[in-house]
Amino acid sequence: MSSGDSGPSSSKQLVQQPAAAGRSPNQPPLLGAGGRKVIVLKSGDEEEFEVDLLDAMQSRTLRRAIEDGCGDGPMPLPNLTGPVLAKVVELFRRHRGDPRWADELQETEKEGMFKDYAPQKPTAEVKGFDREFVSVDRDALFDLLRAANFLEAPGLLDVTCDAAADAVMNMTVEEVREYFGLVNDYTPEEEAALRKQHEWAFQ
Amino acid sequence: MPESMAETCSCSSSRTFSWLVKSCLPDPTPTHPAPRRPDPHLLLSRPGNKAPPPLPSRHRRHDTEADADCDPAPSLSSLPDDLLLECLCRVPLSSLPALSFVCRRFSHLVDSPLFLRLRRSHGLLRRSLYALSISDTGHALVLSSPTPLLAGAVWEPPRSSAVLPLPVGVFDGGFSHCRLVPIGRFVYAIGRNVAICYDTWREKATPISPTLFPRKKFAAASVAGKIYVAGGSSKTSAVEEYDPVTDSWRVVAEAPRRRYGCVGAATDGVFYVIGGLKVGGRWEAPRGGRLDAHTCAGTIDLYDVEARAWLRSRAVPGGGCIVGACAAGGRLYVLASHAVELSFWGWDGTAATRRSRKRSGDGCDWARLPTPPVPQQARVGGAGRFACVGVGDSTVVLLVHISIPSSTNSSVCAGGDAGRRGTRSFDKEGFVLVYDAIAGEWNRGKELPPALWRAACTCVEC
Repeated sequence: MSSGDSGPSSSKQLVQQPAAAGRSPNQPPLLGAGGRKVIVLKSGDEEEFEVDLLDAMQSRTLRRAIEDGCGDGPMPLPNLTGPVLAKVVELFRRHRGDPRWADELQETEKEGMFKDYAPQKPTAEVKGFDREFVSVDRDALFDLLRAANFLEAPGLLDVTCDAAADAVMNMTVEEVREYFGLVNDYTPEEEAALRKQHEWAFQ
Repeated sequence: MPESMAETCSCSSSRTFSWLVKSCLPDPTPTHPAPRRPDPHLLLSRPGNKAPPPLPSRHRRHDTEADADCDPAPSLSSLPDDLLLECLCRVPLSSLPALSFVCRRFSHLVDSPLFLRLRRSHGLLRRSLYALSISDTGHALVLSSPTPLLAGAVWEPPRSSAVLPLPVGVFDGGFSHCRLVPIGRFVYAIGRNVAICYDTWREKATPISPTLFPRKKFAAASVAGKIYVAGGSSKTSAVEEYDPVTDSWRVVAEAPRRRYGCVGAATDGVFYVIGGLKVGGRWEAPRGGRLDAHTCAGTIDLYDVEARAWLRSRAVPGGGCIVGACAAGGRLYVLASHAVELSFWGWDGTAATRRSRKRSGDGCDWARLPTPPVPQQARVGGAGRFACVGVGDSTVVLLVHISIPSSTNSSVCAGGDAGRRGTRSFDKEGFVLVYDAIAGEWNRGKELPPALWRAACTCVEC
């Protein structure tokens, strides 16, 4: 969290990403040539994650912070834990170029920074990743949902909300209550009347 | 590239993270010497681990110490309403009705206008046309069809039955020429001294308060979740507003003209009272105002609901009588009859209303559109009955019912069941035409069965 008064020279302080170290061959190719701008996100439990600047822009919350000039130091995200943030960062990387947010990004972006950043249709691979991404238990899914809400990341929100909707789809009313931790606040008479009128809704 | 980076990233520390109001700021000094790349294998849990733990016990992740400090972690099983809405709005339509039985909060959420807006923004709204005919026996006949009505579409009864028993005591014959107004998944059928609300999810009709003044063949439409009615009575020019939440009507304005046989539509916060004959009132001509009939037939009164004000009235070009009208996608569509000819018009209500509210100049907002391929018999005054239903942003469904004395030639065109003989001395024909505003063309839609040729029809989005 330094810099501040440095003005244009701050470009020299940018963290340069080490040349493609640790990238597996099936990861999306790097965009642009040379070093990439990387920002550091710090979870509530002090874990730090490097994330490509362009990937981080999938989150409106992060984008606002970056546009306000806060991308030079580790950005604390105290209400996200390390494991959650690790998953989120991975999703951002895999959703690179996802039209669900790239359109919006290209509209708001003024400097031509993302002009080579063409939206792509989600590939089968990305869809497979998304499926795997939400193959978690309820509490973990809810953590991701809250993270999506906090980060205002449309792609992440889509994937997680779809998963929750899929989970609920074939549940009985009782199961839905249990899933969301809700208490039935209808009176027994009301519920009996509802059940009588709408038996098909309960299978 | 570095230039722009420098600009975007130059940081004024005074406002650093001022936007992060939800957060409790930890010590920004890095504690880990080197940031690490995210580990793709670090999953919160394994795919197999599906069993949800019992509620609300606090869930422990494998790094429990992490939770202790900063994570505000509300009860894990409680999501805020906006997140719940985001999840629930993605549930398929067939599973939605059951959700309102979960608890009052869910019921409230799925009934909220925001829920529909979200489904619309995710492209999940399913539109269905509902045809409702309320018979003399106190039953309603209901058929619905997914839109578009074109190739392969069918009119189907709802899950339970096509015949909907009406609530006891509701029926007294007042539903002839009733008006249908959809709000969300509900269809309000408003008749003379009687009204019901049909819940398309639960397939159940419940009685609601009737209009304050008895009306027949009046204009009705919904604006911002409330229903507005005007006309249909020679005794009053009151415009009434219905609030579904309180199940109550109140008078909100006096209409400039008393119309009978008018139709209603709404777009962009404006309630249109369209066509009809002029009846009653102070300007009354001898013999019930019929001499003045033409002064209303081609005109439209515009009521700005929010401003509680009447905008300048309009008239359909060419001096025809309006025989059908609806709104779709910010446009008003009007079918006009000129003695032996029909004309079809689109009116850019959004632009016109904006100008009208600003009191800026007039523009030519009317556009002549392709005339629907209606058989010649139906074009002659009185033989055809028309009803327009706006569907989505760019579709107009036109229901045509033709009734002509059987002595005349009954070859009815448009490719349908020509020459169907009525039981009396009339040849009757009913068919459906669909106008695609993007392609600018008419197509034949799926016909309704004869019993529903004169049914009221509306489009429900949910």
